Amino acid sequence: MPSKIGQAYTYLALTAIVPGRSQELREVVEAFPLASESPFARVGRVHFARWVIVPQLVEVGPPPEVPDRLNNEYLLFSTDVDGDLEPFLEALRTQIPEVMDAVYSHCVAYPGTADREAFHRYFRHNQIETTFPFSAYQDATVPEVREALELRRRLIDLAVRAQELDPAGLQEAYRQAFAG
Amino acid sequence: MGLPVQEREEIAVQTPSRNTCGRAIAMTLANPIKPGRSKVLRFNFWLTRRFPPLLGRLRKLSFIHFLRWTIVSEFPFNGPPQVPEKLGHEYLLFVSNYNGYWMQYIDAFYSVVPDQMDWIWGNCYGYPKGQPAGATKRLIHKLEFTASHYYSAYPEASATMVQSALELRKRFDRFQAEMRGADPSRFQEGFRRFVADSQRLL
Repeated sequence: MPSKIGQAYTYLALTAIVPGRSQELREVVEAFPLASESPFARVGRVHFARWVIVPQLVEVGPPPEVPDRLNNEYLLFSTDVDGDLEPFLEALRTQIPEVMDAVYSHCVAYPGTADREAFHRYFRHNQIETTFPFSAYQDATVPEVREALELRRRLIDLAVRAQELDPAGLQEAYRQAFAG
Repeated sequence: MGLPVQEREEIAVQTPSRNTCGRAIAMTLANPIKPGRSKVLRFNFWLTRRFPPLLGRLRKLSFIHFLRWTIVSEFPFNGPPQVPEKLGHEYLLFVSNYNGYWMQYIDAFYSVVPDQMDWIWGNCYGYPKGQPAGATKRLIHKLEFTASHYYSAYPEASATMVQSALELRKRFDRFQAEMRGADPSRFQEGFRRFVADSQRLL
């Protein structure tokens, strides 16, 4: 399954925006707080995620390319998550329902989070299967990456302090930092 | 490289902040695929997945967290008021999470995987095959969509930092096992050796 990469899953959906509602949708999405306050932080298993409003395709030329015109505006949702699709969709539905409803109520035929089956069906129907995914650390989960980064930070700190500590002091500092 | 200073600054200034989250940067592009070339593209991706040296070259692009290419053959249809699309092309979506500078990112693709650039985007309209990176930068800048919301779970970390930290985690587990029951002198010696051996990861 091309969307699966290592332990991770790369999900991408294109959902048509209700005509005339893209500006309102943009205001909703752009008002969400960022980084650790982002709604995706509450989902837990998300490495990266983005919402992109696609108003139109870009004409690249030169001829013989004949430019396409979209009949609808689309919301592109792309994310790289731990595990499989099913638990991820359920996490979106149950952990950030007010966010999903606020965003996708501006998209055509969105059924809402209350109906589990319809919610899953909607995001499966609008999924575009990934052709070629790539990651340099595809087997590490979000908690594993965060834990490793924290370990690295503490090791750097101890390596700097080690220069001023005697053997007993170093061992004690190590115990305090890691043996906890 | 390949662009006048004024244009270089223009592109740097115009990289939208909404495409960033800490060190992480989002790139989202859609290229029209030339007629009949999506089969070639699918074959090239299939080959890259199965031929380790090709995948190994992608791994040298150390500033990438996650990326994907997706061939869009049709836009999902949900019924009215959505109007069915009648497009003349399939599209190649490129969705990337990376760190560093936009200009360097494109340059690195050109210098590390030039053949793969041609193998992939050479099947799309607008790609200036065989021309300097500057022409590609102009095209990418034109094609790039801006995110309305972008999230990274570890915005403080570059892709290299993540890979180093994960490797360090493995080494540290071995170090801890070796140092179990060590007296202070042996521990200090072992710790110094561990730090020296792990220097490139710190």
